[in-house]
Amino acid sequence: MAAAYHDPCNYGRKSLKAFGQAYFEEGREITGNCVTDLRELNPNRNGAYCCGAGGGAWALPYSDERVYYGRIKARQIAESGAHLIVAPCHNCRDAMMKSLNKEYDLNIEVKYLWELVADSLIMPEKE
Amino acid sequence: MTLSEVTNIAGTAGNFQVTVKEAPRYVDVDKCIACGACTEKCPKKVDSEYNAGTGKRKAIYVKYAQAVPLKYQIDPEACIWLKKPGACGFCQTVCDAGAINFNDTEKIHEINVGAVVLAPGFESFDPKEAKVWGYGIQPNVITAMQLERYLSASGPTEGHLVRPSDHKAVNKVAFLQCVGSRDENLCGNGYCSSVCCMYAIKEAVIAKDHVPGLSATIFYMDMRTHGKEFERYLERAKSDSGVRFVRCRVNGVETEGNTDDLRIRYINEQGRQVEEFFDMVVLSVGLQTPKSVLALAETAGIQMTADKFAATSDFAPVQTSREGIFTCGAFAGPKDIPQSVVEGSAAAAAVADLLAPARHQLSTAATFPTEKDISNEEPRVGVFICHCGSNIASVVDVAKVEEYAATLPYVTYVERNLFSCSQDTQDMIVKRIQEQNLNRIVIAACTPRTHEPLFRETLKAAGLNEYLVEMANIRNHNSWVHSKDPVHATAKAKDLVRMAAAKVTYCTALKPISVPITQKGLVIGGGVAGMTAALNLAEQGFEVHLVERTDTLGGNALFLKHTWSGEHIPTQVKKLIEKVMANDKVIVHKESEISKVEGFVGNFETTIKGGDGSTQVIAHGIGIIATGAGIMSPHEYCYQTSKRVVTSVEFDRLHELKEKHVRSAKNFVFIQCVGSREGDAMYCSKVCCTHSVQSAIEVKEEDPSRNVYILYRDMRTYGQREKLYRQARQMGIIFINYELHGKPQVIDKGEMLEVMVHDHILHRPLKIEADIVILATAIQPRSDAKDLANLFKVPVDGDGFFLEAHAKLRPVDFSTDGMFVAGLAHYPKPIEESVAQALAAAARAATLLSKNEVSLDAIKASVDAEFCDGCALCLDVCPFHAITLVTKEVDGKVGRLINVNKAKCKGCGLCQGTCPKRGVYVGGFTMQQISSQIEAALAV
Repeated sequence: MAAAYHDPCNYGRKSLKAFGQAYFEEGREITGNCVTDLRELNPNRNGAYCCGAGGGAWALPYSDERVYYGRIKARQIAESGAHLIVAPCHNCRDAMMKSLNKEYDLNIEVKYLWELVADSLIMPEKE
Repeated sequence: MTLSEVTNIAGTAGNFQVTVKEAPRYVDVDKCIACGACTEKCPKKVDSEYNAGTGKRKAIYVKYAQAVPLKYQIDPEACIWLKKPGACGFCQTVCDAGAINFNDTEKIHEINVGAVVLAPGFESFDPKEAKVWGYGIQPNVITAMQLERYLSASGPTEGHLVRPSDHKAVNKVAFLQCVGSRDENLCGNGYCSSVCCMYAIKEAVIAKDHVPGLSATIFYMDMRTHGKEFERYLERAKSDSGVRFVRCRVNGVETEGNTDDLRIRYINEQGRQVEEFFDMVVLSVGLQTPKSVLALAETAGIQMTADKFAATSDFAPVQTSREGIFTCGAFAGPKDIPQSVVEGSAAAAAVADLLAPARHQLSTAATFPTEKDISNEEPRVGVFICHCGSNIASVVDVAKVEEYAATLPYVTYVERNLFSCSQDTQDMIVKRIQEQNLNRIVIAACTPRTHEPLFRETLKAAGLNEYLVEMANIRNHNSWVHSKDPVHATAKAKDLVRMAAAKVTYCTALKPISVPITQKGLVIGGGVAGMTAALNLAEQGFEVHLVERTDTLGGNALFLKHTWSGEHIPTQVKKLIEKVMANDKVIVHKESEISKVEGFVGNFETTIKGGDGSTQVIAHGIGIIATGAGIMSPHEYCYQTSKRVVTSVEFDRLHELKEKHVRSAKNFVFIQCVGSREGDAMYCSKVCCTHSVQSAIEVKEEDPSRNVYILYRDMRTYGQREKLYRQARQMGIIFINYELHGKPQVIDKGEMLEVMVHDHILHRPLKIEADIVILATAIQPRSDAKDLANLFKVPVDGDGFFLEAHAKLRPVDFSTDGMFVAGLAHYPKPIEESVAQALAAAARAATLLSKNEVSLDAIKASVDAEFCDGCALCLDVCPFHAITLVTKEVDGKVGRLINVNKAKCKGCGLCQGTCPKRGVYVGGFTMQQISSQIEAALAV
């Protein structure tokens, strides 16, 4: 299944700005080892598009705006052809799984990074 | 010295010990004739730096066709032999000149010099790291440097604009401005690179010329076209070429799904988000100082600015922090070609000032044998045919040409050379001329543009007049272009040799004209530019007359307080005036004006009229016009009716004097471009954006509770001035953009003013209640500039500013020899640019004044009194005003005749072409020479 890794601001540009250290490659490498077809959502890493729920918007009542903000991420996902999105951040994961997927008919599965790793550890014959 | 770098600078001004490390070239420059055989055979290909990675070069290469010296070099990183000796060596085998030297080694040179000029330049920003523009990921995202190569006939696609990904024709291209400039977030380059707006417009216009129907869009923040003639270029790009301009900083570029089309999202002027697709995206990359240059700065021990450019003072813009070390070009801040060239001359002036006592110490004059008089000799033509290695000989049958040349009339000697230009062949030609008693020479080789001076020297060394040589270009015009047709190329070579021999037969000895020089200067205008130029010339040892119209030196600088970098102008101007007054070589004429000018380069006689009506005639060799400019008095925005509306300069004074309205004011509105960039004044006044921002910062700093607004069209805080703009925004000064079709309105309400403007972010009309409105008024040329221009026969442009000979190549020279321009008289500019230009003008002037006489080229027009009847047709066509009408008396009858001023004549030949009676001819191109050449061309 085609998968794509989403760069959350919390582990990427925000971390870079606040602590001088970003984690762009680690999540990618792990994802790449778990899936066979890893695609990039360009622009990525420091220039990645927001899931729409950044800045705590997921917890706030402005849902119309949030969905609107997420339209670019949704389009990017649709164009990439990926059906599995790996989102290490809970905020992004919720936004994409519970909101963008429905609002934009993306038909995608969204997983945390740890979920992906956990799922990958299951031996096929034990499934 | 090429391939060299400075590794140490020890000592002090006037006596530096410089250590230079010269990397091996592996090619002997004395032997290499740049025939290119080596490159053809070299099997190793790598990315070409010159083509910005769009094409390939070989391991042995010249960087680009115009490289100086035009000699090949081996890239040791790529060369197969140098990595594994014995492995390749093709270049050595094919080099007829034997120039390849694989055993070349690095050399260390110790040089003793008095001064050092640092001009290491810049590198363009590499957008790969930032990623958001897709550069390095999407093949159709390229840099402006790469586009430049794609559009070039010598580039990888020979000038065709195709997409790198699929070679599809490009129909729609977008330019993104400020990539690597004005951006602290992605690259840390907070400054404006100053040149990218102009180059993007130029590339867009050229691209549209190349590809009919191409749509070109430039996405920008502020259009910074602040240079001379730039604003008109921008307007023409919009109206004539149809380039589209969108004010929006684009945050990223991506592809649409799996296609190669590039998607750009932006916000249009109505505030709507728009998505658009392009075939190609060009990144207008900024300028930055390379790491290697930062290391050089450290080696030189000079201070750098926060933006990583050499730190200089605005009153000494080419002086670094270490005495005796100077700078010019983009190393001291991003700048364009005209300003870099100006600074190059300015650095030369500063060095000349420092080293004036040592002038002429190391120069030697070449000596030649006495010239033989050949006027009564029968022509004896010698023809030398060059093989140019295999460049000519592999296509043209040179033996046949030799055989043929011997049959031509008056040809007494013919010889073939492997390389006619090599030193040993030169010596041999001298020997043959003397041995064979030759008195006319034909060199059948390459182009006179590069090689004629060399062969002229050869003739001089043989005791012949240097004008008795003619070149037949059987390489560039023949073997290179007809390489696939040797038979016809050989025939053409014969034709060319026949024509050259026919022409040279009628050559006569021409004598260069030399004109003595009055080693004194005249500087008109006692402002900062005029004083700087006068002082520099005086410190170089020349007497200078400085003419000032008013009773005070200082000019427009007397109205100003701080330069953009914060230097106190009154203190600096006072120092400058003191230096000028203390220097006994500067003779100051206050309250004086120019009333009459006679003479030409080296020999001007100018009459100045004093305030008391007295006149004085000054003899001088050169003149520098630095008459400054004026301030426009506005007729709009209630300036004439309300005391609360003032100009920037008036505001500075009121503010300084703590005038009560200014002191108590809470709401300040600055309006930019008052009288600039519209109507007849289609030019940018260049300094007002920075001036207003500085004033705004000051009033806000005094009392942060004040509301300060700047209404602008494009903020043009170019170069490192961007820092001020950034500071102003951080302080909460509000910037509102307006367009020419929606100018702000000022309504006088007595106790306050109402300023109405359309807010470009809220998309609503905005009413600002202002206590004071400050107008950034235009700098306008002096109304009497034209009169002065007429006196000195120099041109002014359509706006009324003095017009230089060439914007890039000769930015401070007039086309009239011996006349120069500096300061605001040339175009609005800030103090450091005026000072640089003044120094440049002084440097250019000193190149003339340092000689006792000027030697002029001997190719000049002469009158044939027998045929000239004074019809005066030639007077109109002469672009140099070198021809005058005089009267003559023949057999008691008074007639008219022309007279050519040889010092002014440039030998262009327009007069000869125009004359219907053969009354005027140009030496070296007489009617007889040209017609014999044409006859020879037709005689097959």
